[in-house]
Amino acid sequence: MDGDHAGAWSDLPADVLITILEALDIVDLVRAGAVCQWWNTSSAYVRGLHHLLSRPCTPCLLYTTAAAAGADADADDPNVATLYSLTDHRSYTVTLPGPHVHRRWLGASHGWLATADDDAALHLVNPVTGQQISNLPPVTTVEPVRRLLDDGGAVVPGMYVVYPYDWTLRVEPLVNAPMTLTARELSEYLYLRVFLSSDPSSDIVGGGCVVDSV
Amino acid sequence: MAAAAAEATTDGGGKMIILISADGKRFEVTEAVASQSQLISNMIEDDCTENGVRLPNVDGDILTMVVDYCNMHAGDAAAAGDTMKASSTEEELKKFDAELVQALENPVLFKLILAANFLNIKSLLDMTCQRVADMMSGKTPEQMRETFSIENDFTPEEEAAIRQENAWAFDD
Repeated sequence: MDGDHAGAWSDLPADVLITILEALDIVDLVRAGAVCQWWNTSSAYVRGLHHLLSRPCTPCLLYTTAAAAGADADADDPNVATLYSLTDHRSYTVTLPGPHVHRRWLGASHGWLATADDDAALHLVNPVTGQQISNLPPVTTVEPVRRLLDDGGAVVPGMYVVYPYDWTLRVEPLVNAPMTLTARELSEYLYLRVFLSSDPSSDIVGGGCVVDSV
Repeated sequence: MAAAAAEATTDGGGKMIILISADGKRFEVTEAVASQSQLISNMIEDDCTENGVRLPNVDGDILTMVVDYCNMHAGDAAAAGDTMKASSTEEELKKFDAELVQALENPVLFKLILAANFLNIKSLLDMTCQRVADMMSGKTPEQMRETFSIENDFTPEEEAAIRQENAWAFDD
């Protein structure tokens, strides 16, 4: 009857182990993935399910500090952030995935952060899983935004022209003169806050998540 | 067939079922108590509990706990109002569950989980899994290995890669 071999807990049936792992906080779940091969596979599976991140749970505070980025690093290195967990009262340093660019923070939905880079492109970043979505439609797909062309018709890098709409949604060049903006100015002009309609990683089919900026 | 149909109508937990553990211990329980196991409930429906239910992968001492648990919880399941010893109050149940799960030694907890999984008793499985999750909570991977006597089967490179990938979770 005492036939327990030492490896018993590492051989838990998959469904049982998943039930256990689903009951854990994300930090404990990640740590459980470093215990042994089988737990690693199961932990990765549960993290992939993602309902863990979408379930109603206490949010974490996210902030960037010079201390977190290291003593000799840029005072506001935007690629190192600190997550403060309100449930276990401690902070975790997360390195955001590349490309390492300056980021403007535009919002957080469903565990994802929406940021804009210096070229006015939007990126979605998941600080916990390290995933990044950078293939959102380019800023020039926004109707009033065009690239700035020089006299020869070549694109001037990093510069944009915006034709502001008036209230009738008609372009009125005389009333609303077009503005020439740098990418960074455009980003500040265009994006105030970004919301996601759903968790992009829960969307298997694709195309179901609407990124809405105001 | 006709006889089976007639028996099935005497529902409400009156009928007794014999459960037989791996080591041959016999437990006599009512249908209402036994039906908390989805496995046995299906067997009752299929009318194949006549000669006792053999449970070749559940030891007698574990089955004792399972039967105690099911007796205690028969109240929630048999809402039909057939009150034997089932009318435990909610507080009593909570106390019973907490004491049951707290007192378990690791190997027993492990066997109880497997039994709850095999017998498909969801509430017992959830409760025991939660206990394991509580035991893991706040521990480092090394402490988890120690708690559950798990051997580290990663190569040093694999382990380093895993820690690197989610370095934020490992900076103690």
